[in-house]
Amino acid sequence: MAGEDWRVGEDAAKAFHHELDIVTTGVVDLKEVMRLAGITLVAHDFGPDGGDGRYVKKGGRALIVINTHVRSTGRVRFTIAHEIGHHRLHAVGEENATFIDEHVGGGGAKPRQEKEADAFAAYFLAPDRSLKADAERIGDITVESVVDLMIRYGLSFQATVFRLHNNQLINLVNAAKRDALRRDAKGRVEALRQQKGGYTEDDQILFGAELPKSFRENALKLFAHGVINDERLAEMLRMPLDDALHLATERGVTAPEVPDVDEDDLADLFDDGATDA
Amino acid sequence: MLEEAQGEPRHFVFLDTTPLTHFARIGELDRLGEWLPGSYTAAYVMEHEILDWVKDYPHNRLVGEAKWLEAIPADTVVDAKLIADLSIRFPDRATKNIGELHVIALAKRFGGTAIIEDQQARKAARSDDAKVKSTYMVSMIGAAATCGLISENEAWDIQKRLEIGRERSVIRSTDRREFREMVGFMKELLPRWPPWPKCLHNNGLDQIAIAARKQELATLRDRFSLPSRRRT
Repeated sequence: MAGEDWRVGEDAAKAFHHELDIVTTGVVDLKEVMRLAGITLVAHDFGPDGGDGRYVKKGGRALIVINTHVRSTGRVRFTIAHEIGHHRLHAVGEENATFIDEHVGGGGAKPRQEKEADAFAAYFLAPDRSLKADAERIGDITVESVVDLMIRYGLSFQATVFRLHNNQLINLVNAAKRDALRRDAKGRVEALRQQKGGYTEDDQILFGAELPKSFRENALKLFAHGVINDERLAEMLRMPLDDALHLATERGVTAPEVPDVDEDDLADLFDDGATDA
Repeated sequence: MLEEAQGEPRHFVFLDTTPLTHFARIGELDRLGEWLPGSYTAAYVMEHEILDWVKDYPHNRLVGEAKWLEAIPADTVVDAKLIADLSIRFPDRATKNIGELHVIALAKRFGGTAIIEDQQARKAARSDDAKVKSTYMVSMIGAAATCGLISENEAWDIQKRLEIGRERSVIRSTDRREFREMVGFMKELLPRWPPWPKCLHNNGLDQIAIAARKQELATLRDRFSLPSRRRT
């Protein structure tokens, strides 16, 4: 049975769904949710040991910071939903609040607030009723069908399996089945995800979602002008170097070659041949 | 009909793809024709780099219809040899410079000025094999303002519109101050200049643009004993 912390998270997610009038089938538009909730999303590379994300509220302004080192859209979405959970459950009425999340989702011993935020995220992204309907339609749960569900709800594989198991919505998904699924899926999930067309959201759009367009344009312009180098461009765009260069190339922006003043050419200005009008 | 150069360079201007298509793109192709009536481009450029792309860039059609512009082939043995030599000595990505090399070959044959942007092509133009004088688009626009063909504000407006979304020139869409300083420096040299368009036949114009971009005009002013300018 789900515990009290799970019920708290689920109830908060249900209430938020109702408040936002969200249609609870399919992928939740997190960018729109954050906009409606008045939360700003930013991305920062905290490195491989930097955890999944942070929720920061200061002076009444709320900020979610995701770690760009995490390159799984599903996991990033779960982290964002988890931080929205903190916003709804633990920061209401607070002027300042901070939650640093090293590992969202999954099981294990956690503080109550983290379990509640996990429950909020799980339900918010994949509500019971919708999951149940999908599970009945699918029938036997296999690695392939879990990948279908993770794409459908924008969850990671782990979170989807956890969600199916933890809600006891499907008899087949007991602990043994859950572990078997995880074993079968090892090394196959990413290939399957790509084979099935991937998430409907583009990773880059999600990671760069809250960088104002003018900021991105100006960063590219600075790069084009040679004011900043490629590493600084990547830093400003909050993305890995290769992605930043790829984006710049796609936009037709390359670092300019502004040559040095050429002495021979310069002398041409004062050459007799040029001044014999 | 063009006559091949003998002695003094003639004042023919040979335009590469970039100035033609980009002036057309911003609706200023007629103005380019007013500045440079009776100009030329290479037949290769017109056919393969302009008209072949009309489907993707409908404004390219205007270049083909321009009455003031004639496309002539760089098809003599000397042209072909020069193009082949330069394409080997100054390779660029894929076939990127072929159009420029045709323009350079024609400018060489007729002693004209090449209006080209590409850095590698500029090096080719300046090589001992070619010895062709070339000018950037922005230098041409600055010179047009300097010679009174257009006001400086109008010239900047054109330069800005050319560069927005392109940002390839040494002076880009946000470099208003650099553009103003480039034109200012050109105006100081105007008394020494031949009249338009012969003034374009000078590799030094681009150096003014580069120095303006790098904020090195003060150094040039000192070197050539020009009076220093007071900022207002």
